[in-house]
Amino acid sequence: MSTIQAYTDAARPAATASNLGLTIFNTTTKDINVSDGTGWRVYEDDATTANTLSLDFDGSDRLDTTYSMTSVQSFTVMWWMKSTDTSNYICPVADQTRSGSFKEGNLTVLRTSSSSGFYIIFGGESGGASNSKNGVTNFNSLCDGDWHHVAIVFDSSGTYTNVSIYKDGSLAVSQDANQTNGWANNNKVVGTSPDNFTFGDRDVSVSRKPYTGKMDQMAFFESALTGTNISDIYNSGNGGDLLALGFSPDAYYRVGYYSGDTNSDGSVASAGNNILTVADYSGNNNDASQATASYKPTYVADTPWS
Amino acid sequence: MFVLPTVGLGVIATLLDSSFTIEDTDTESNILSTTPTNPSGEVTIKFGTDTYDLYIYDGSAWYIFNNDS
Repeated sequence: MSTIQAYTDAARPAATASNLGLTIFNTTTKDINVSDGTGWRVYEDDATTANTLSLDFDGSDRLDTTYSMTSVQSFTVMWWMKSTDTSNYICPVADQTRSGSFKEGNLTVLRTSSSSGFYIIFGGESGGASNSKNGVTNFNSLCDGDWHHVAIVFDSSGTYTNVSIYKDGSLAVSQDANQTNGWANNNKVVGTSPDNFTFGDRDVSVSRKPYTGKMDQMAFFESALTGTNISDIYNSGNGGDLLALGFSPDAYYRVGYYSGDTNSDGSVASAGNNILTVADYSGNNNDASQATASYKPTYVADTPWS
Repeated sequence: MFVLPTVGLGVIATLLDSSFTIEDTDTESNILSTTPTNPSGEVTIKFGTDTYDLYIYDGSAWYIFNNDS
């Protein structure tokens, strides 16, 4: 393995005749520095795979993925979010469509009023048959203007699906979804005839619940991650790339990642530009996009971690 | 008559000591899919065989230096 020395800007040695040609990586500026015998010559980096961009949803935008769950009983969805919207109904993620037949039961996450908690729907395909419950935990605590990590785990290994919501790596609530706990029915998560998942809204034309704020590092797992998994991913707020952390999501939107994510003109993703493609880095090729120009989220240089 | 230069070996040794070759070469996609473990105080550098760019991994992300030629 080839390596070169690395220094912070402050710890970098003086460039002198004795170290002419010394080549280092400056960990402060992320540039290559070469000693010319009297000073440092700087070679700036042109791109990075660091997490430098997230998506901004303006209250009208939505990101349409091409990922739909297969027939699974256990499932995990997670994302980072930053919002100050505590007054509107919002839907950060859903596979619901109300175009044509009304389907909301595969998996939809909502805040249905300004003061409610999570309203989670799963386990059915029509409105009347879906499993849902309001007020599972306080959604507004996520909308304080700071970045927060949200993970919702559906563990169907028991008699009933256990729904666990994690905020910033810690368990906020965990309960079995059965009728005695106030859920609509006892159906488990099953992805029969699913729709593709959407972030930032649940529907284009009917009863929209658009999200206003930023989202980053959205991921789906067709399994129930453990509390330790979620804590490791949150990493004390330092986050981390899921693949680098050793996880294997079934769909993974890093957002603004070098080599794959693009602006609306096809160039490499950069801040201030609307999306063309937000790539799925799970290896399953479930890329995301938005066909309607006015609904396109925008890349923004604001991330929960870098 | 061949005369061994008195300072030649030293110069050669110095050149050999300071020579630097990037041993790790691969395509960009293969490079970016790896997460090398860096020795303390060092970073990994690789060369892209399809892009001719340089790639440095700082322990959390890759930094890309484009080939400008």
